[in-house]
Amino acid sequence: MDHPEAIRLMAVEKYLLNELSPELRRSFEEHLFECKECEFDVQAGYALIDGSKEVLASTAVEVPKAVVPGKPNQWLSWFRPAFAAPVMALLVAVVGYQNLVTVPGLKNEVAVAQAPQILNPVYLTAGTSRSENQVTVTAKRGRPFTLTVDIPAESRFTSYVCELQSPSGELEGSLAVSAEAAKNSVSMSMYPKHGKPGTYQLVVFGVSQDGTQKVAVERQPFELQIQD
Amino acid sequence: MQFEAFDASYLKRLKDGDIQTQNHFVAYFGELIQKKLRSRVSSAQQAADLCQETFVRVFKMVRSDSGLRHPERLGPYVVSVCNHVLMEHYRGSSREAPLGEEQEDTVPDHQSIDPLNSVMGKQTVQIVRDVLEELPERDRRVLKELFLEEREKNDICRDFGIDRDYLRVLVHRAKQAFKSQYLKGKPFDQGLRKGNGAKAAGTP
Repeated sequence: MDHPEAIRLMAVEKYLLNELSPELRRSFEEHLFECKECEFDVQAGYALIDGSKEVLASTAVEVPKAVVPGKPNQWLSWFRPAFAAPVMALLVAVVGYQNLVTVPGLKNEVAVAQAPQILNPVYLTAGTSRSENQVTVTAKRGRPFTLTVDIPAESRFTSYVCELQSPSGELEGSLAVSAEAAKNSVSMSMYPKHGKPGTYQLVVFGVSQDGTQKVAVERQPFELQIQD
Repeated sequence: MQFEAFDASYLKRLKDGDIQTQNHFVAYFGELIQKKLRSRVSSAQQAADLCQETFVRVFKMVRSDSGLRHPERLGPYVVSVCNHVLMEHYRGSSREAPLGEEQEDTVPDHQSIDPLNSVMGKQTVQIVRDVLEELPERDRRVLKELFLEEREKNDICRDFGIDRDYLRVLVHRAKQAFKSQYLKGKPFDQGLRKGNGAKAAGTP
């Protein structure tokens, strides 16, 4: 082995790490007798190893947690039967409930919603804000109802927002209406989130072009009755 | 020649005077020593004498109480002793005094013959500390597992997600950094001379 070959093979490093085959070790040791540079390299390597042992032994180097064969990973412990069995039982119960109760219920609601039906829109006319003329809306529990309203269009507004407010003043739903749509009567489907009867209010806000101004232009209270 | 690992078992057999091991050792290194010496001294007899002297010193060290602590370093140690003997020959000291009388003073232990031994101790440790501090945290951990814990290299590679080439390059980089700091302001040959004793000018 000559010096270029020793360099190419990284013979010094392999020698220090005891990675040379017996034949290559012999060849490299033969080279060591002739090559001062490689001999010095080997001695420097040993000095580094000895010095590293001393430095690293006295230095608090955090050693990464090695994966010890036979010692299961913490995450994998969740798959042990003690945990897995009750978890699987719970999952089966949840999935069963969903399949037997929740999903059929949702399918039924979708089917009802998709089925052809006659709409009976309630027309909220101007002047009905007064209590004596208050409109009564009857809706089935869990079903939306339809309102129709005339929006008093004003040129300063470029769009409108219709908000359904509950008897306690909470927002139950809202619908954006363009100025163009507001030129005609607007029919909207509303769905009271809480499904409680009482005096609701449909409030129409006019929105300025830059969106900074929002002014109530119409308030239409109505009595909501819920049928089971 | 049957290859044998220079491990603790081999060293113990050598120390205990096991003939077979001793013959293997002499055959293994005798050829290398003779090859080196023949090209550097004027006669075959001189080469044979110096080879014999090298073995005498090596066996003396191996069988001493302190002994060699690192069997895997047996090869470089023999190289160092051989160089030491050759240097003495060049200086003429070996011609002026019988080899036997000089042994007590010239048998190097495996530490003192280390060319870096002159700075071993605090200075060497400080250089190594500087080198290690320059390494990324992961590389320091790898070297700790490799040198201090002396774990299996394949296990280290698996745990750190590296391969054997990475280990070699890491050792190479650390060694080069160590050499660079050690030799800073100190010519390469001077570094060798400090540890190997006074090396005569003009030594081939």
